[in-house]
Amino acid sequence: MPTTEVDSLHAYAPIIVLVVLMVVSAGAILLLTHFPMKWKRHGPVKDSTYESGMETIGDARRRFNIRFYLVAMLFLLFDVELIFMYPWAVVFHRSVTGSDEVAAAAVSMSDYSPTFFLGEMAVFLGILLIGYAYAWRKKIFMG
Amino acid sequence: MIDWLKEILASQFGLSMLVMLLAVGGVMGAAAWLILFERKVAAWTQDRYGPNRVGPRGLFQPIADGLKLFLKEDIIPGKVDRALFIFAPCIALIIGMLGVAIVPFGGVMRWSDGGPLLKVQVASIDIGLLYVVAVGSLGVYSVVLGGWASNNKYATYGGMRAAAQMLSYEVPLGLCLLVCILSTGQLRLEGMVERQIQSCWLGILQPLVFVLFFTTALAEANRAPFDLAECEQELVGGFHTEYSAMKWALFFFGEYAHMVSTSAVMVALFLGGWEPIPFSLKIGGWLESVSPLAWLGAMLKWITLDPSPWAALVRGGVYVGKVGCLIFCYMWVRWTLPRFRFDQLMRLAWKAMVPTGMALAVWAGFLVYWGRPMSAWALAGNGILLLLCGMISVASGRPTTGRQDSLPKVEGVS
Repeated sequence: MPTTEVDSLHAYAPIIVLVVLMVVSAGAILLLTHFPMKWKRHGPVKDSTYESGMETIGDARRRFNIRFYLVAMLFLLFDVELIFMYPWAVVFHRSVTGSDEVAAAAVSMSDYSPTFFLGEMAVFLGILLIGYAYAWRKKIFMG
Repeated sequence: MIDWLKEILASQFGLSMLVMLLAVGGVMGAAAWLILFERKVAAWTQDRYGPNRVGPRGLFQPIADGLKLFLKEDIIPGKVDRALFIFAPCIALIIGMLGVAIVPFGGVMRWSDGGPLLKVQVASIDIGLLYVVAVGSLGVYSVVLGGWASNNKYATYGGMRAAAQMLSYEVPLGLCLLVCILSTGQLRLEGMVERQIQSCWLGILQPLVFVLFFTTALAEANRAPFDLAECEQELVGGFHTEYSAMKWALFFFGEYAHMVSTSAVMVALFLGGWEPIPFSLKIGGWLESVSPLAWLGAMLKWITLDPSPWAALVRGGVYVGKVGCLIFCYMWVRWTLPRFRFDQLMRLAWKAMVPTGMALAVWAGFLVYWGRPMSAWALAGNGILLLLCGMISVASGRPTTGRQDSLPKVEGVS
């Protein structure tokens, strides 16, 4: 199906409307249930933290296992690389199939051969895999 | 008044608004009744009746529940971070709904012959799938902020677990999406559906990718067997331990909305979107040549391609039906499989799904290089990889972790 229109920001207008609609409705639900028609009683026991009826010891903002942090770092490594791969995938596909309806956008890419694209991504993935193997050896993946 | 309305609806923006209102209203309403449906599925699985007191067959249960949640006292404990505590459930609701924005519910349509072709979806943006990833990964904020703001040890640990889990499963999810993009060469969801109508559904060509994607979608939605963030035996309620009344309900609205939108994306990626059955154009063409069944063939073609509003409506119905089937699968899995332990969960993501996803992506890359990204070779690669995975997992045996390592060895027990 031809998608001839050059995508402008107009295409995003409905999304902005959707965001506004959802923010307003979430706010409305909270306001409706938060303030009116309720009396509230407070007390030292009622307002205390629920930890299965035990008396709370200290704060909940404590140190946590370093692995959570490492997982987050690994995620950054992988996910940023993945985001790079999506545009690559589209351009690579076009460089092979060529006569696409949006080939005009890929004209400047036609100087490069599909082999170049594949090799480029192989190098990129190779570097990623080294980091992955290192993390595996360091037992970050919980055993 | 009527003319004015007609003029607005004739534009793409007007149709987008109409689809958006239908989608938002539909998902909001569906979320309430999906909870009833979930309880009915649970009852069916466990061979009991389920809710059957409020209205015929318990059909009015969501209304009663909603009324109760609306009127219940909304407790905010003393030690919480109030701003974030109130903000977190709102994020859950908003993010859950944003995913439906790019779902192509009904292909293209025109109001009258010769009119402009309009897309039956809220927004058709060129970054398509990237938007899905971006919005989907924001979902983790609601759980983490909710858990952290509660200032409760259960909630904090639930939030930490959820963060680690959702981040970990984002990676295989991204790899599955990469396979889809490589196969179709498209980022727009409607473009992907059209490619699948021309050749074959990706769920048939790449079944392993579909299974991987479904599993990660379960984990992203924090659904059983990946619901460690709210694991009752260990963490009471997990991240929503301190929540009550409508704030608690908003988390659940968010979860069900998230389920609906991920299922809708899955339908577009793997199950051919609005196409009623796989290969419907070929089968339709073949049926048209068989005289008693010609009407059926013509109907298949009409549903798949015709730009009239009625065909678009039927396509939307087909789409919603497929989404419903997937949601039933979500629930079926939830009441069938036991929950993972946390280290098993992380191992599954990083040591099993990431390498498998990478192998699949590399295979898809080579298929594109050879110029046949949507051929039976994809299926063959999936089969071989599945066999390899099975062999490796049998050969590597059961892993021992943590406390098991330091247990004394017993004769004759491996």
